[in-house]
Amino acid sequence: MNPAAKLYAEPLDIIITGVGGQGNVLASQVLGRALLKLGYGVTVGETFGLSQRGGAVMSMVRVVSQGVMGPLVPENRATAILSLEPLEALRVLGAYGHPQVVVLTNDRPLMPVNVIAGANRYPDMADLQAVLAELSSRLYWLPATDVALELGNPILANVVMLGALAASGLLPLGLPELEAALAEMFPPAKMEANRQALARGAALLA
Amino acid sequence: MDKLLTPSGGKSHLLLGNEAIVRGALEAGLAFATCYPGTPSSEVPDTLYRLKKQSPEAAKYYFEYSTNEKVALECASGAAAAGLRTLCTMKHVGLNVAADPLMTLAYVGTQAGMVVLAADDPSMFSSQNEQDSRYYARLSGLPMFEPADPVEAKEMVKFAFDLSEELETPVLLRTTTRVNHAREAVPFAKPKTPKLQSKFKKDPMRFVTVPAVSRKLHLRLMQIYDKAQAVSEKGPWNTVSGRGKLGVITSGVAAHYVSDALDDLGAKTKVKVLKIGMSWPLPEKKIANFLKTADKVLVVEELEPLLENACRAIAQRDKIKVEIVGKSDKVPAQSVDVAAPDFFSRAFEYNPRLVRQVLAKTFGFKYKNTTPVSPKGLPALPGRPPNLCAGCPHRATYYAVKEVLGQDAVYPTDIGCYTLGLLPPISMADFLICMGSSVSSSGGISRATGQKVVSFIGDSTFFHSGLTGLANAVHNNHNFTLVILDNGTTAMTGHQPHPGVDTEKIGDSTTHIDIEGVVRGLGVQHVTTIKPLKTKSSIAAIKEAVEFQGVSVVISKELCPLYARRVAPKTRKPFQVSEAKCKGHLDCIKKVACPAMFLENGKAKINSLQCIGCALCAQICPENAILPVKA
Repeated sequence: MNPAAKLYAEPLDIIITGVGGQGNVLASQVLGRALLKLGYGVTVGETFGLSQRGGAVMSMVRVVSQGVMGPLVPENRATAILSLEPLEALRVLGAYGHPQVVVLTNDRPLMPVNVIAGANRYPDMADLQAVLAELSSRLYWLPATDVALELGNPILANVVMLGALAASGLLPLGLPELEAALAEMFPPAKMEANRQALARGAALLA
Repeated sequence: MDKLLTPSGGKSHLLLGNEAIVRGALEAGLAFATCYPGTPSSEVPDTLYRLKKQSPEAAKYYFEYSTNEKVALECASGAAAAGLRTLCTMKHVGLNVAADPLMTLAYVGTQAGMVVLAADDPSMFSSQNEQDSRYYARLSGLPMFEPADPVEAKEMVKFAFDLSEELETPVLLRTTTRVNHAREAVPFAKPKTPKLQSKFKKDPMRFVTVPAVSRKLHLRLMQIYDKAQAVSEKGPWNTVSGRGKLGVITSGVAAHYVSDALDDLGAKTKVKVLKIGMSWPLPEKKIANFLKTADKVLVVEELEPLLENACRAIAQRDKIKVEIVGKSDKVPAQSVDVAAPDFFSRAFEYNPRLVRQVLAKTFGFKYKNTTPVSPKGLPALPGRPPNLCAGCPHRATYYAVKEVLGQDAVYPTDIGCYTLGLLPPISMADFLICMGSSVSSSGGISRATGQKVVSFIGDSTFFHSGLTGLANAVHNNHNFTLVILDNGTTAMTGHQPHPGVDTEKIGDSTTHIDIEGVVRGLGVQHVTTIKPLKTKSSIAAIKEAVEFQGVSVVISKELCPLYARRVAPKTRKPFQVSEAKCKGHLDCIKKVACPAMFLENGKAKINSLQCIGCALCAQICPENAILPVKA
């Protein structure tokens, strides 16, 4: 099957980042499944392992109209960065960004252990937002955790962010395709919360 | 039923590399599987375990989490000698533990297909070293396959089972993290019906390795090597693409970086590529022909220069005039980073930029990169090392031991989540080389120095490699305290069971072994079990244990909270800091730095979304200012 829609970029390289435990891998899996069903070539490279325990994690979703790519996005070549934590957005931007990159980030910070212990400082939130805006072509600074808490569970922030990504115009798909991919991974009882999270995420960009 | 158990072929599914290995084994008619989990191999056994639990009627193979890799390989070797198709999985360092059986298993061989997975971890995302398991193919003389991606991984597993059965020899599958943890659309084929039971045919002149038998078996191994080499030359896994006088020889995931880089450089038509998928025995004739028809060849392989050295040897032997470029002798200035050096090193994994740079430099290709982000615009970012979870009982145990002995004692540690005790403010990890080294090295350190030694080992690691060390310590009258951190599961690698788990909790029919009983059975005279989240009584028990002359053991028993959430959920109220009572001593933060805590205007606060109510900080606070959140 050949995909119907042209990609925003070829390859479309989306880096999903965050802190271990935020549902990074799940987000990349949902995105990968949805794109695969539409006929695109998809390779997802995951970086986790020890980092499951509160370290930085990263998934690279690489999409092409035909063929397959290696599992790693080259430096300074990400099309978009989807981050579940603002500091991690900036960390990935430094290595994989360029003036045309699009950044979507959750605005809720999670403190690294060295910041908790007082050895390091977490950047000022306003500065962080300003730098992300300056170094990208578009920044979406989104209250994904707040929305997830309103829906009853902070873990839904990853699905809220996916909803926002679908509304950003970067993907050749919409919410129904993401919902179908989620439905393959969750029991029906959990789907209502996921549906709402997708819709609320997309609404953040409206 | 899970898609991995689909009894038909045809469709493609998005699979993790490790899931693709499982599907490959199932399509090959897997009957028997053993393992010790370890990143990046863990999802292979975890998937086999999960499938069996979910659909025992469809997943008919036998599966076990073995106590360690040596045991896993020996158990598997018995099944394969009896005639069942067998898979044995481990991470690269696990193959060191299993190296003893592997070397002689190579002599006796098998009566059915047997595949041994060794998952390497270049750049050490979650490992203590980045040794190159390809050496083990050379050391043992066994055939080895190296997939570049999940699709190849599945196909190679099937091919390896057939080859193994045909040659009656185990076959090694060597992966790297970027293959194990990549996801890709993998096409399914119809699984073979497994042969689930067999009869052991006695053949002591083949299977009992006394010297007279082994002398014959070594010759047998060499004959098998010749047959395997013919497959390496003619088979489907070592292939040349493209043409020209410039050549690249590559293997594993690096083959993808080469392909991506040649696309980027617009050089696909200027370079021919020899991709090595069956990496032992090497296709020496194919390599010689490739070298003969090239002026310059770049070898692109992660870690050790094994292909490169083989190419140099073949060129010398066959008097081929060709320039071979590979690893530099230079030592890179920094570790894991996307900002790679512009030369190939034996250290760390490769990445697209590195491969593109070296390709461009070696062959004189021009490249213009996209504009990077200006580093001037970036503020200094705090790192984000992993940390013990909020409510982790290890944090409480470390706290209690440090209250008794401070930083003066020596703290050998071991492999598991608790290794994170290395980081400040806990800072209680002084020596670690491998699984089980905590126990055995403690005897050496205490004998050599006379210093107080307290070592830490997890419950799964204790069964893996702690038992023999503890027997040694008791027998040789060593003097130290061993703390066994019993969180009821193998937490680090994803909550796999081990002999000490409460099997009822997870509905397994395996047999539970009591750690305290084992420790007493090994002759330890001073044994106490503590509940680490009760700090006062824990501190008292630890004090007694460290004052004991000889080997003492403290078993610190409390479920891993991530695991407990699944198997024994209970809700505890999160805690909060009373602003009225807090005087800002910050003992809570300075002594334990739980991820649920943070500083605000010089005072400690608790993130109620993260706090699970373990109450450790509440017991540390000198003002009793930390209290449960009122409903």
